[in-house]
Amino acid sequence: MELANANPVVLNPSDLPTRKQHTISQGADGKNASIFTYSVPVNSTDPFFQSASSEASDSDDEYEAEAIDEQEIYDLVATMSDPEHPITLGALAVVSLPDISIRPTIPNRPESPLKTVTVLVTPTIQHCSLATVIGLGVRVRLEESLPARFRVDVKIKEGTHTTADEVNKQLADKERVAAALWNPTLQSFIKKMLETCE
Amino acid sequence: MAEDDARAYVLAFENNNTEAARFASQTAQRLQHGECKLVDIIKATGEYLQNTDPKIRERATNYLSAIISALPTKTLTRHDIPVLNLFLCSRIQDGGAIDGLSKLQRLDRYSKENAQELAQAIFDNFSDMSDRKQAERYQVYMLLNELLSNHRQAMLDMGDGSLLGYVHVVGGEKDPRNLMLIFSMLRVFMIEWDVSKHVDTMFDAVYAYFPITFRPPPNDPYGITAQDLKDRLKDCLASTGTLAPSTFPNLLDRLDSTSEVVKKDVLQALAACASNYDPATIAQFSIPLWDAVKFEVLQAQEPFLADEALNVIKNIAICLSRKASPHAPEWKADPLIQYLKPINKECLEHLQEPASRQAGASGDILKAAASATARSFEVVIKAIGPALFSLQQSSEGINNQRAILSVVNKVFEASIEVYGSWTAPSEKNKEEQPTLLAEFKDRLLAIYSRALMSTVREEVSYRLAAAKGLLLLAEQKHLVDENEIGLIVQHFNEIVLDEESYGRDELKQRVMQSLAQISQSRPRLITDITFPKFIARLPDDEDQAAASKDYQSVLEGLAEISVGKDLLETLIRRLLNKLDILVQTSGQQYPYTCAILSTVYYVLDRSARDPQLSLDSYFQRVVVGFARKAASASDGPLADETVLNLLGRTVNLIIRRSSNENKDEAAQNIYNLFRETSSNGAHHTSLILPSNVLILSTWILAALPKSSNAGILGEPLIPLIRILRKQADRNTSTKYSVAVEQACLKQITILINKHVSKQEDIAEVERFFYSAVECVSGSSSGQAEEGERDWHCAVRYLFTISKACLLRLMRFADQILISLINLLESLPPEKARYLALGFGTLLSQDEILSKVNEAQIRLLAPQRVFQKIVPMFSEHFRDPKATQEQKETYLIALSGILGSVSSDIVMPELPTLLPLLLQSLEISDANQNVKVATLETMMVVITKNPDALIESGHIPALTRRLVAAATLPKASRKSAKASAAMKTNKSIDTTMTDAPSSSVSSSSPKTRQLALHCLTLLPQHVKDQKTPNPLLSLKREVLNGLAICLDDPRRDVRKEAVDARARWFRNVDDADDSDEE
Repeated sequence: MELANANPVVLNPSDLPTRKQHTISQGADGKNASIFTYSVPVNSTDPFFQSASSEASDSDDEYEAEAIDEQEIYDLVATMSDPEHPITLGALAVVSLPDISIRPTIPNRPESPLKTVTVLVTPTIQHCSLATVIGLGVRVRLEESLPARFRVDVKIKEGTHTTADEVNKQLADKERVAAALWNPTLQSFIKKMLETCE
Repeated sequence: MAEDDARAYVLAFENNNTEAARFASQTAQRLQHGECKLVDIIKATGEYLQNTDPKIRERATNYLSAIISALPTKTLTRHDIPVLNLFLCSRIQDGGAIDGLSKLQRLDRYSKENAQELAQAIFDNFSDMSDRKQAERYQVYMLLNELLSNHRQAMLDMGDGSLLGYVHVVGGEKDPRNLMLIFSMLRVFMIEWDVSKHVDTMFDAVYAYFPITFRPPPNDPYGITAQDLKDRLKDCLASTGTLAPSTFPNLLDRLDSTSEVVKKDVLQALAACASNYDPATIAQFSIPLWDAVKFEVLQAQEPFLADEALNVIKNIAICLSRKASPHAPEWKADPLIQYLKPINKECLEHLQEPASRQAGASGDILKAAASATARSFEVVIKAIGPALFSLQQSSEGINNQRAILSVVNKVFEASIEVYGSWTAPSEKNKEEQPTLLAEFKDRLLAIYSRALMSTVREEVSYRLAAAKGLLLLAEQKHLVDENEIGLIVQHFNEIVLDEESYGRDELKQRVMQSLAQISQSRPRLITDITFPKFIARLPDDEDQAAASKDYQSVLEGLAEISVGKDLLETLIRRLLNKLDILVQTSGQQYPYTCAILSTVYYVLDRSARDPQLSLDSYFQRVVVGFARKAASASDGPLADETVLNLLGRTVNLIIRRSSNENKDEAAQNIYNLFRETSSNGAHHTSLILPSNVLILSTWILAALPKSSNAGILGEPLIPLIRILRKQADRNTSTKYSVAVEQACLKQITILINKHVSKQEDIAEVERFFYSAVECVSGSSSGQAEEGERDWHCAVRYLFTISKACLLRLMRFADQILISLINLLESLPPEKARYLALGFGTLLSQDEILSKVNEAQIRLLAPQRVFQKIVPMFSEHFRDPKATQEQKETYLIALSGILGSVSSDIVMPELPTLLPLLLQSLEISDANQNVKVATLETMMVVITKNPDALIESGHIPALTRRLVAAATLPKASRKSAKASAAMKTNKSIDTTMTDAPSSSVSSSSPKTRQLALHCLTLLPQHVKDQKTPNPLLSLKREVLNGLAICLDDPRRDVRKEAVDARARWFRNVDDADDSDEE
């Protein structure tokens, strides 16, 4: 099969956004596990004394609820691979953190749990014939992985594709999406994209 | 006489093989002693040999074969052999003839002519073997193979005759066992015969089998794998360049295959051909090969295929660097240059867009080509070196710059492979020439240093590439001098010590590893430059340390770079000096002191991996010095439990690695702790004060060998155990300290497990156990808190004794288990629950009662305990009188045991255990440890023994319970959010957790995560070939259940839920469905 873009630009994994960046302060004591684990008192492994110490740190109340944010959406889709190359969408910059947004579905009721996720996809080249497949894959991934109170909106980023409008129309049309997913060729494409997600 | 034997043989053959063999050897002996002649025997057998019944003829032939094999090699004369040979050859189709011939041809006097006669007979008679059995065919091939190895010259003299004959006979074979033989024979022909006139025949004979699609049957008794066949076939194809005009075009055609396995076979065959064929041959095909193979790298779909393709590219370059054989045609130009020219050109074109995917692949190609030989490195570097510099100057954007550095790094790696590294010379550079990089050295150092040190810290990957490159430059043989490496070391120091932490700190980690690497081969640089800088960063006291906080990474760095002996000793000396000052201060907490002690321990422990190493030199300084200080300290760091534990650990390690004299001295000082004013004999009554120091005593006691007889260990042990027990109790009544009680109890376990050996002492220990049981079972008199504390202490004491006895499997081990379980049943629920916790200690890993401390841990102890205890649990559990509370108590006890034994021991008991495990997933109790232990066991069961699960029929039950355990009930989901919102109001939190969870049992995050992980594992492992997938009917239910988990308040849990759901979406199919694809 002829490749739509045989030679895309690839980013280094070290430069992709990760959650660790936001939590530098937490990393300081956790990372030195190798040497300083010995400082743990001996009785921590004794079940007679364990229940008192460990349970507290593991309960839900100690932690702030971690809401689903843009980085989490990014982590869901960035690990998918391109249908043409064994390279992730993140490394190809097809999806990027600034192009993901989460908004309340009902604008005048921001406290409502209903949310809309918008992901803008940047195809590697203007006339990429696989833009629809990528968009579809991203959509499938998010619908599988997000709770029902999230609405998913996947679009081609403005000005990055010659037939963006047509592709967007297709991606927004629920029935066309559902029909497309019955297509065995598309199914195998999407399966391949999702293989690298774990 | 001969006739009798022949008849006897023929008659006996059918019923009694050994008897028949005896007759044959009888005849052979007679022949040997000259009592009869070969002619007589043949005459005697004649009647049978002429018989019309093929069975009788076969027996007669067998008779002759048996005689031949029973004879010594020299008995048959030069006249006998041709007669026998001719005769057997004429009967070659008869059973037994092949056998006889193969024995005959092994004889010393078997001549060339005989061999050729035999070969011809085989060619004539076995031209079509398709209707013969595998074993028969195998026998023929074996004979052919032996002819080839024993009578090579005879076969060679037959020329084309033997070649064509062999090829004809072996054609059409399909059995893997036979093919192994055939491939190795064909290879001999390819190499030693002139095959130039029969290229097509030979090629077809071999290539017909390409690609091998053989899949060995399950439990294959012959153990021939597809890879074995592939390797032999590959060797055949690669054996002679004469085949090249057929091999290469055909193989390249196959490269278009859609199967990755076929592609891999093709690439491996090409690589083998490239390294075996003559340079002159390869030169003809090098360009078309490059043109075909490059796509596998530039547009790689699978990394392993790219690696194979790179190997082909490299092998061609290696081959073309060899001198062509003298009779090869003269080439107008050097074939290596001809080959590398288009490679360099194309790679340079791709490199014009450095960050693109194909530029990265081009780097790999250049590395493969350059690393082949010194000559090819020269050709590549001359072509691309200058171009890379100008690219580096003209490219814009960090991403492009980073990509260029990565490509250059690959060239550096190639240079190390060709010219050798600072530690190892290279085979490819016997003359020890300097690397051609020398020409560019100064420019490279400047570019890389600037990239590393003058770039903002956000550009992680760019700086990582620069750091990697600098290390690679330092590693080159004869390139960078000491001063220049020193400069690199300074850069690295600066990054580790002066830069602020950023992101995942990948750069700091990489640089630290690089320093450790440099330390191994250039320790002086590290001693002079890095070490003092790091030491200077260490704070002087706890207060300073609390202010700076980054001492941990400094200590970690110091530990990492101090690999050599000298550096190590210096480091420990410096750290101990710090400690001397630190232990004199006072305060509340001592994290810095602990960190330094940890580092000392870590470094000593690492060097102690060398079993020869003795740590005697630290005995006086650390063991005696610090123990003495601790003995007199009433406050400060040396009275702190954590510090004492760490110190104890270090002391323990040093004593274990010391001389016997030092060990004896330590034994004298277990409680005295090297105090100068030793009050002899008084140590029993006034054990020691301050009591915290008992922690140190425990570690010293643990380090002493079992055989030690010095000091207190030479005296009666039973009184000592009594004193320790009292000490533990006294501790309970006055100021309570967990650590002191544990220290006493640990010492009791050590004494019972390691040192009690006399029969009467063992009997005394048994009495201790029963009185402890009584103590626990009797109702405690006081209602007060003190009474309860005493009782708890008694339980812990009980398990202390039990563990020590069980691990060495004392004779009353079974009674111990029975008594413990009876206690569990008879105690009131509250107390039983506490008792149940103790079961987790019985087999758990113990740092003090451990193998390195020479504890007596019988190999079978865990298994014996487990096998004894599980049926008892199960029985009590099914007892209709058992209350729900009791059942839960059993499950807590069980989970404790499950958590501490290896899965090999658990698996055989699975049928008994599964129902219990399922129950414990439902346990309403807030004790999450039970669920965690159960889920961890389930994880092992699912991965290692899914068949047992399928057979048990519990899969639906398990799956539903897992989903329930993974789901946070709605009410508490809301409450989690509410509590997050009102975090300040602590009282709400406590009421939430204390409230009895009657309606819903909420799982802790860890439980939810583990349950989800089990669900992720299920589709992967539960697959049944025979019946429909048992998960299929659950798919919808699980997917719906998991949809709720996607909204879990914890991120880790959600991640696990996403993975589980993806698996269930795509990996749970009907077996038929997946076959159709």
